[in-house]
Amino acid sequence: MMMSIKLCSRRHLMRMSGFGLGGIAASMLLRDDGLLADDSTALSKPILEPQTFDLLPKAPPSPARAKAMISMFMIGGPSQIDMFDPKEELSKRDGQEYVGNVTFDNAAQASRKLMASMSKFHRRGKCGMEMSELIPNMGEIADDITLIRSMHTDVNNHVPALYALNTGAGVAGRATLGSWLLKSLGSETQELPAYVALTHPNGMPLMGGDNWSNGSLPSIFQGTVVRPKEPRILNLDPPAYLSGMPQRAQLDLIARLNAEHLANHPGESDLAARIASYELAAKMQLAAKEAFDISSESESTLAMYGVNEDVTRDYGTRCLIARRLVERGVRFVQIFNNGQSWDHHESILNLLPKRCTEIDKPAAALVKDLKQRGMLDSTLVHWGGEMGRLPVIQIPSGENPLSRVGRDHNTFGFSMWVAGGGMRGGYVHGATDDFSHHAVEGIVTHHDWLATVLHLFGLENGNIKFRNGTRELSLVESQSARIVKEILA
Amino acid sequence: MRCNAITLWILLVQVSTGFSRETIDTEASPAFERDVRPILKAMCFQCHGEEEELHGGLDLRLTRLIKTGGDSGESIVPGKAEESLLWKRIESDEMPEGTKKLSTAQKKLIREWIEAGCKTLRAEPENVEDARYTSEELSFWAFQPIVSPEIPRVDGYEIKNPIDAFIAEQLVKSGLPFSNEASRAVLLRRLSMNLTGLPPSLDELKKFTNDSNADAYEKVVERLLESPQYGARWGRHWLDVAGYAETEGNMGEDTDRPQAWRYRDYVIRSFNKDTPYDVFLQEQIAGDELVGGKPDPENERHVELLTATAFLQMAPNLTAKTDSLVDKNQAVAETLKVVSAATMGLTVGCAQCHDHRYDPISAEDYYRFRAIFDPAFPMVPWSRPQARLVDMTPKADRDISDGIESKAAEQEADLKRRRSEFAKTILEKLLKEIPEEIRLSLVEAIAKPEDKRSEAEKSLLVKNPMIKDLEFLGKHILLYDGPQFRIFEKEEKEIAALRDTKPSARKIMCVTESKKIVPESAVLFRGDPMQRRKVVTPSEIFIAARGRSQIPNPTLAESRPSTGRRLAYAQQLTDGTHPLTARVAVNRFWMHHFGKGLVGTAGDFGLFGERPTHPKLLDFLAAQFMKNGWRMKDLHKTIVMSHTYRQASHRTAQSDAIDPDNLLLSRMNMRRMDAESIRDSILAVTQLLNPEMGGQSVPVAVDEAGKSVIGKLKTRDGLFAGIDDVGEQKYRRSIFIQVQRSSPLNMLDTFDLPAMTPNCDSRKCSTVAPQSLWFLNDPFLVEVTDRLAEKMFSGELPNVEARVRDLFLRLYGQEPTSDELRVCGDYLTQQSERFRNDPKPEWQKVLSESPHAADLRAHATLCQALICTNRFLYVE
Repeated sequence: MMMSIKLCSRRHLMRMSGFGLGGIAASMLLRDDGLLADDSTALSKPILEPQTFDLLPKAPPSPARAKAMISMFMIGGPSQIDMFDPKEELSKRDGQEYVGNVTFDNAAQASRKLMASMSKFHRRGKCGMEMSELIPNMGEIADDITLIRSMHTDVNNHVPALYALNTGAGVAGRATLGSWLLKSLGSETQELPAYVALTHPNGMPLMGGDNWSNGSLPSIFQGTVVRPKEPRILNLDPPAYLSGMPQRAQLDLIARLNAEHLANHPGESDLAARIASYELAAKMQLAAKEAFDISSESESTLAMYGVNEDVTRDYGTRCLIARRLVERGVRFVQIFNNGQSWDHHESILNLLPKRCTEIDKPAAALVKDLKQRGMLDSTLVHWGGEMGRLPVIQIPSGENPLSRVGRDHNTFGFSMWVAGGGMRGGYVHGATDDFSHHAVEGIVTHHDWLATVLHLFGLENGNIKFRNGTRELSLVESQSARIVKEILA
Repeated sequence: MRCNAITLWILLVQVSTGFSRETIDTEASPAFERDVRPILKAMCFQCHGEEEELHGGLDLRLTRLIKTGGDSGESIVPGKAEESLLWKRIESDEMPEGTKKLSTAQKKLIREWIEAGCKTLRAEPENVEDARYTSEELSFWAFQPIVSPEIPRVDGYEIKNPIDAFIAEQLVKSGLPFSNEASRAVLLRRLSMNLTGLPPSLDELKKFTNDSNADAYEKVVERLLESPQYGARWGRHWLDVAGYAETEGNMGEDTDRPQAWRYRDYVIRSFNKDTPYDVFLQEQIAGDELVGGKPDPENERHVELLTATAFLQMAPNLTAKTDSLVDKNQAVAETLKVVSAATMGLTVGCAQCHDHRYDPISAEDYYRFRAIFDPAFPMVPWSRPQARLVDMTPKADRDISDGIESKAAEQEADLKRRRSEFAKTILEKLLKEIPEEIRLSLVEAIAKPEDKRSEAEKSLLVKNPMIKDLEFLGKHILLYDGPQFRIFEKEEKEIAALRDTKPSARKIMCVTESKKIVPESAVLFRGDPMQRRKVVTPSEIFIAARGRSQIPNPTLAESRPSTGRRLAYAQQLTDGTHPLTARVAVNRFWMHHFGKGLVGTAGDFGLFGERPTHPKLLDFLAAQFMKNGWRMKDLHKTIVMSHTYRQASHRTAQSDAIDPDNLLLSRMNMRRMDAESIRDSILAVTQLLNPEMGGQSVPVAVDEAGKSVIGKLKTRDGLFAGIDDVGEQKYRRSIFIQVQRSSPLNMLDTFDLPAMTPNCDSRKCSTVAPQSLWFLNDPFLVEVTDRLAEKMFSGELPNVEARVRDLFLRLYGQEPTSDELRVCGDYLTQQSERFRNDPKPEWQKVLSESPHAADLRAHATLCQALICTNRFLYVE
């Protein structure tokens, strides 16, 4: 099925003439050693030079409050009702029918029976912020955080909601916040991956690698996931005889050949990203071991993060690693749970306290530790999930359902907290209705949230864009996005 | 990881706003399909339409049926809400029953609809089942029959390969030209990598370069398609779809599937012998039913057919270790996900608990579909994976085994007898040394069991510790007579070695139906196996089958040897009228050739998936595929012979401006090799690749550092005691390396080997520093490049230039330029110098013994560096 094509333009005809049936070999000989590349780029004169990308630190266009960010992402939807958002009215009407409209994820198990918070709330810190007994350690940092009780996405399932909060819209294929920060600001360190994802030893988070995807941004801006157990990064040691100059010579040769190859394939961002990754790998050999090794931390620090206790060891270690990475100039670290382990459709009374115990102490320690080291002012800390939960119970299937009740999704009103990096401390923002169902005051959407983060990094909404062919991409694409000034220090 | 966000966004908007192609009554007044039906569907349909028995005889699914009404008479009087029964019942909250009532707004809308005369957007269908889904859903492209479109004629192009015509048609519209054909060296490497997962050898390169015939390219295509390595490459793609794994997937102790490799070999064989795709599917879904009776171990075809059904056992299955109903149910649910994604590109799993959120697949639909598989996976009695192995050892082998066994048993009995006799002689010898007065007492003492001995006897034995009973002596001959022990030991080993010569039992991991039961299938409320609801009969997914599904539902008595359901389903999938099977298949082939499918979401052809970039081309290929008898190699050939495939991969400013993601294919996509290809290519270019095909997998074990490496785990007293090297086995192709769900081979994992949970539609491709660290420091690459350097020096390559030339040809399929020759030469000189000056005493000793050692090492590092380059790692 030999094909022959006649292309319309004269220029093409000329070029094609070498491809007549007998001419292949001859033309091939001419094109054998990379000459083809030069030919074909000359074919249509570049309109624009291909853009190049790097991770060198870049000054933000506006003054920045935050230099780095640590996001503790709680996939599944932690129950704000039981942790952050006390409601007297809900407690009073525990067990009664709810009269308003409810959007259920699982209509089959829906009920309108209100369920009060499982836990008592207390005023914490000088500010008197109310937090539940499930998270006693977080109470200790009340004066350092802004608690947002009025999150709202209206994207009622996990995957789209995750996309919304991390990439700005509930669809696949977009770049994440971390990628955008790298694209705009580069990295303070050239010795460690600038964007690190720390996953749970029991498995990847829901959506896996899409959580740290560069989307349509160049590959160099993707996140790097490190191993969830020791050794966090493998292959850090060259064979003894290669150490030093011999490996440097190898790297120089690789760089040279790769540069030549890239020149033949301009515009392939993946090739450029891999060139950069060799330089980074070379430097990581020296830097990464130290950065990921928490053994040099003091006893008191290890104890504060709960590294010595079984229940908090994993999360404490990862929070501590996050601090160490940011200390060394990493721009963005995101810590994930496995799967969607906060998605308590059933047995919330047993499961939620467990989840809380695993993360409460380490999360609070992270803020305390950053503060005592003077890093909190420039490090934006985020704790939250992609949704919250409903004030009514979900009645699961199976035997004794009432002993295993849960709460269904709520994307209309949920809580998260932020600290440092220019956020106010000891402040509660926004409110939900009497049942912690809908955000009604000071509503913060995912657009608002991302715009506010960009603002703190000195990147006002609208200044962070990327042109891909005819398309202009941006992280915040909603006209209605607003910087939530009230929560800024 | 480039994904087409805008396309997706556009289609989401389309989904949410409805399709605008039809003439829709755009008046403000409410319309049934658009406004009223969704409310009724959510609140009322379950009792009044969807379930088998209509409550009160009332069906609310069509306006005319509502008008007709039920037992209480007409439900609506158009224009007169107050006179309409429907309105009265809703308004008073009498209906729906239960706690959920219509909101005020919903009531208002229904009232307005009645008042305005009960309008519909279009004529209602004759058959109410046809109204189960909206016309928007039913007219969705992927569910339409495949009709081969006419090959377009494009002005200015004279095109022979139809693929090029379809591609050209869209390029012209965007003002983009095709790219030129890639250079021959590039084409050969591209073809070899795509079709076999291995780079061309020096011989192949030379042959192609010197072949000036017009059909040189075509001959290469044919040679590669006939290579057994083709099956190893394309079989691997299918194994992704099937979710191939050699462990069950339990956390902690991941149970082995010691026989899974037989399915892997079946897949490779099927690709290599070009089994038509329709047969390939039928065998995997219903191989046991194709056997049509008791499988005969002597019949190789039966063996093959049973082996194929391991496809239905690939999903994670925790019931190897648990007896939980939830786990059993989950194993079936995961299997359905694999089957539906693999064959139809549908994510039916979403409908396990509730109607599918995006696609027109109801929960009931799901359970009808599941009913096809229920007889193979009844919950009671449940067959654990290890109980599903069927012994298909041929009689000749069994006879040989039996013969060997009887011989071994005979030798063993003889050995035992001689051992015990020898024990007696030991005892006699020992007793001779004992004073006569106590000799008899001792003999009596040892003759008794330990607990029957008197105190005196016990103390006598303590005083004469050499004297033991015959059993003890028999076991501890070593203590008394070392040389004789060695003789017995040697004999024992010989007997074990004899047993090892038995032909291995052929145990097949497969799916068969139980002879005693045809389970009754039912909707499981919220996917909960404890809560069976409406009983359902087997049927294919409605939207795909459109009511033409004919799945047998025989009684137990009629159903022997099996129900025939899976076979009927497999035949429907492949009867040439199914809207999805061929489209999904050709799209997957396209994806593996171009890096992206014509439909970007290869495992989701539903409403949430992406739309085809070239719908006509997709249908053309699908129709042609079926017409040509589902021949996969023909399809490959059609694709790789096209100019579209043979284009150069260089971006141009023009195409980047108009089509940066290359959706229109004005060039080839440049792609990083996948994990297996990287490893296999490295083995190929270093001439270490072990070409052995098939058989048991090469084991993977976790070493002390927590890294998964090739080797056999050694334990002592249940503790880690190192990893045994597996010799040349470690150089086999990656498809033959054990696939552990919990701890996959680290090298492959680093390069984005997919986690099989339960399977993988399309692979991700990351570019991160741990990959570069692997290239720089992993002992594997250091070792194989060392060995290549040794070969280069022992061979016929006289000088540096010849060696560098040889490396470039092997690795890149191209000669080095003079500049590259010089750079590499300089590198070698300097690196050798450095190594010569390395003062470590043990190294200096090596150098004094073999003066070439420094050069050798320098060459090894050059080879490693060249493998590290993008030129090696990417395929143009």
